[in-house]
Amino acid sequence: MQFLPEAPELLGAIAALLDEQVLPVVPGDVQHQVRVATHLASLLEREARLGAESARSERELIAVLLGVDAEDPAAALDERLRAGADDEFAARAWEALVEITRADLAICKPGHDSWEGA
Amino acid sequence: MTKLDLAAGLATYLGEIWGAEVAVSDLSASTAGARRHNLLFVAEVAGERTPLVATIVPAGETLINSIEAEAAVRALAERGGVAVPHVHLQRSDGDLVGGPLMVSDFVDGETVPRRVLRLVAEHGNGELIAHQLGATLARLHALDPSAVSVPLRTLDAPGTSPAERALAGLTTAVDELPRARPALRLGLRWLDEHLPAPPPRETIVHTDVRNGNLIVGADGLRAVLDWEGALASGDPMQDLAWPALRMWRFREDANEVGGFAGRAPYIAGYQGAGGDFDDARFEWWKVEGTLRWAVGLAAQTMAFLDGRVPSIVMAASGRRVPELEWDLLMLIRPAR
Repeated sequence: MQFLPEAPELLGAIAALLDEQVLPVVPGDVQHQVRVATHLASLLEREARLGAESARSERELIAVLLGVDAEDPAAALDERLRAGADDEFAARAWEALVEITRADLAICKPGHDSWEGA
Repeated sequence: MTKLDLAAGLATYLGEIWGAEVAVSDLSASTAGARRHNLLFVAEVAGERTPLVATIVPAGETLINSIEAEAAVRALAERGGVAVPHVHLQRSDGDLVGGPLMVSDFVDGETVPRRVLRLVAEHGNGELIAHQLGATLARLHALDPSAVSVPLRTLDAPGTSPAERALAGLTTAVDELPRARPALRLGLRWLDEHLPAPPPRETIVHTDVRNGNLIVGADGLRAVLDWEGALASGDPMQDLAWPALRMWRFREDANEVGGFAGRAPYIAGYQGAGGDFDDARFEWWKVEGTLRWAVGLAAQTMAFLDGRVPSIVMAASGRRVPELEWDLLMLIRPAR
């Protein structure tokens, strides 16, 4: 068992370092890559906090939709849709996938789900 | 490769074309272009200085079209009134500069999307640009595909429409993803169920006209860049839909077309210049383009994972897939 800090705190510290101290002093051609690295450290911090709950919720939503608790829920739903789905199932799958994608976005791009179409 | 080598190589090649002694100076990297190197420089002949841009494709990098075909479609587009930087030379054997090469006029203005949108906010010329973009696409689609002097790539499959060809390609791409993405599968289902009628006429399509591949100034649209993916024959609505996708609005979500403006001035520009706009096909290609960019991002991440492109930017691409899945789901919302 490791001592503290845990992954989210460490990743947060890495992100802050990159953003506040590294980014301002690197040459222009590396700045974009440092920004991406900062974003990824923040993303991993959120994943360390929210990932397990997001996976659990995805599994549950797909289990309800399919009526079975699959080992790989995304693959099972993909296979079900590939085999051919009627409009009623597709609409229910859409509702579940909106929830699942919201949870993915809470990790990889918070706020992206504020736009709902057009 | 040092800048000195590049300057000498460019001077040699331009000298051959122009039949004169050319001096090359002021070489600097441009920000535009991810896989290709764009270099700004000045060519001087008998005291006359011309600002130019060299586009160099690193040897070994895949070309979607040959550099000759890309230059040929740009030349045809220029003659047809499409704003495009004039090409001075192209050669596939650019040994002196490290790979296939094209040299074109330098056109001043902004290309980086957020800077473009700042300029638009400052000058209030978003509707003008959307209108100009529509008109530009109409002029491109009016060109005779058989008039391109070096053939462009095609996705021909006899008896199929451009939409059918695109859907077949996307289905293969989704099937081959290393992890199942049911949201993309649902998108394929929608595309299949809503497959549109073929276009009245297949046209040259640029395939990547969007905020980020445009040069924009206070006076509006100055040039369309990055013709490497042009297709000899496709649905013109593919080109209309692509710049209207959410990912090219750069947070200006209310302005459908590139963050510039809504679709009204854009369609008016297209129709005013003779384009034949079709709403159903436009909507279909928006869904297609969103799905296409999702599998494109997945492909970038695969190029990182298998070691072909060891770039953190490519690594991050895979984690952007849910953004496209969200945009896709919003576009295919089931009717209640």
